[in-house]
Amino acid sequence: MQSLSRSLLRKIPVAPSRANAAIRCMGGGGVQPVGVVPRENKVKVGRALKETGLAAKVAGGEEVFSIRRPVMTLLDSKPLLATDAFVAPSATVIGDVTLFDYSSVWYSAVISGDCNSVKVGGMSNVQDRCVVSTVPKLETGFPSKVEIGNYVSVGPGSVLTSCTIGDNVIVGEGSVVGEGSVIESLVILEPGTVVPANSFIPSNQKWGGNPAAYIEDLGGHADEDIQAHAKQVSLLAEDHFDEYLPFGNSYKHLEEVVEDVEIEAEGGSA
Amino acid sequence: MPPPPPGPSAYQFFRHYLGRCLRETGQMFDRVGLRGEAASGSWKYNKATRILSRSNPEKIDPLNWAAHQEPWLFNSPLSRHRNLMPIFLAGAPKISSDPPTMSVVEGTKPFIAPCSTIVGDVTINPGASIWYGAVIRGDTHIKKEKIGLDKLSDDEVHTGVIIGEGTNIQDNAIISGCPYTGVGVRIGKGVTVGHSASIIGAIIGDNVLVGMGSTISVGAVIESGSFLAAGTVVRNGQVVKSGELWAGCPARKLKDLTEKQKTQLFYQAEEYVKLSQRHRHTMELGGEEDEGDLRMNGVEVEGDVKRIEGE
Repeated sequence: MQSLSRSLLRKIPVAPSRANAAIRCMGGGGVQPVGVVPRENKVKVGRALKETGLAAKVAGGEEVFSIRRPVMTLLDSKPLLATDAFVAPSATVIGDVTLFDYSSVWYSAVISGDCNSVKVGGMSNVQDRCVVSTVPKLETGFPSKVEIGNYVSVGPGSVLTSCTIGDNVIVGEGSVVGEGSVIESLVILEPGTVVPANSFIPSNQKWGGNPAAYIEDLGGHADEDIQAHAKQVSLLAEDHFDEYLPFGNSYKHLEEVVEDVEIEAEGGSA
Repeated sequence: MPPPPPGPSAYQFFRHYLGRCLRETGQMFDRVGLRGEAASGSWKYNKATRILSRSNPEKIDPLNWAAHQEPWLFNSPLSRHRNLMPIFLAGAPKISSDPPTMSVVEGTKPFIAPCSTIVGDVTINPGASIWYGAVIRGDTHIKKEKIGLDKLSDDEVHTGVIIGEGTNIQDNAIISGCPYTGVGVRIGKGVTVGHSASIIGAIIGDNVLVGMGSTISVGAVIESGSFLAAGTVVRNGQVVKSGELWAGCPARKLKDLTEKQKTQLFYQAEEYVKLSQRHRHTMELGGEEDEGDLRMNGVEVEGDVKRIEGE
């Protein structure tokens, strides 16, 4: 983002290295060794490429920026976020999603409530690169929504589809929970667990493996440990939350860039 | 192991939060200003195009952003993703300036893909490469008394992430300290971390190959010169010994590596150093072309760099 805007704001041609590569591809450069192009030529070709690109962009109406948004409305379903829920700027929350208090969605995670609703309970966290999605229809006939209870930690890289997860659960990193599965309260899934579709994991147990198998019963203090884990993650999320102001400042940046591009476009046509 | 860095001082706390208050207040005034400008007249709303604008709404060019400035412009649609992001309590990412010990990384800088996320106390050594979509989080801070780690020495407890020289963290990989215990990640020299692998609070030696989609959990130790096959799941506290091939879920030892296979482990890392330098050169639009870059691009540098510039 930063480098893109920096290059856009730059008055001088931005792409000598691109030009260099282009010339190398075309076998140009005459008698000179491959990849060594006089600076003047590089500047000229770079300028030409840049102006052509700019003209094409303006004429074709292509987007100059990535307009990916962390929180996105899909048709009429809008995500509902508690004021203290943290959504990382590179995460994506789409459609009918409810994030309860102190919940957190970490970097590169995707929560898409496009087919049915998704609920993430209080103090729960969906960590990096997780995918929480819904399928259109379940073969069991139950609603295909995702419900994640309170104090649930979904480890990095997990994939949850149309499943119900109770309170006080740890889903280990890289786990896959198939559609229609029900995980009761107070359950720990080991890292890399694969829970097949429409399966049921009862309360107070630890499961793991592919496909998921029973490992052991949980001890007496398991619920406290699981809650402490979730609280720790939510404290971390607060640190990240604090780094961002309530609104972005990029619109100012955008105004500057747009003015700059317009000036250049006018200058080019005149 | 260096001791964990001290937290921010009282003065830094004061400065940070005062600065934040001022910034938020300033932003609030800015929003009021934008709305006030809209309320002062001359703004027209076109129901068909849903555009509120200063000029005649019928004549708006929908491709021209500046023409439809609106009072809610502060809800900016642009991504707020930051490549390198400091966390106040944990610290800022830093590019190490230590002299390299591997011959292949001499004169190189680390390649950090623009869409990767590097947060908090992360140290990246020369020749390392962080590929597209990777997430590296050194945001944890240890609370020894809280988690019963006070029996351990400082050597065993470390926060933050260190990526060794010549190490490549491939696309969509996750490297993160354990959020619960706060234990960080140490990755040695010449390590290849495959696509979509995730490493949480583990220690990894030199010249290790972590296969695609592998998961390494908290407290695991992967010793130097070992090989994890694709999709391996190393559970909490497992130790992979040097010169062994591990695979499966949960991970178990398959066999010992032969001498030839051991040399192949760092061959890939070296190739990735070269590849990353080419990417770095292309990604930095109009960026500097130093000697190292040109060498990596197959350009012969004969002492005088000016010749390359054509002067």
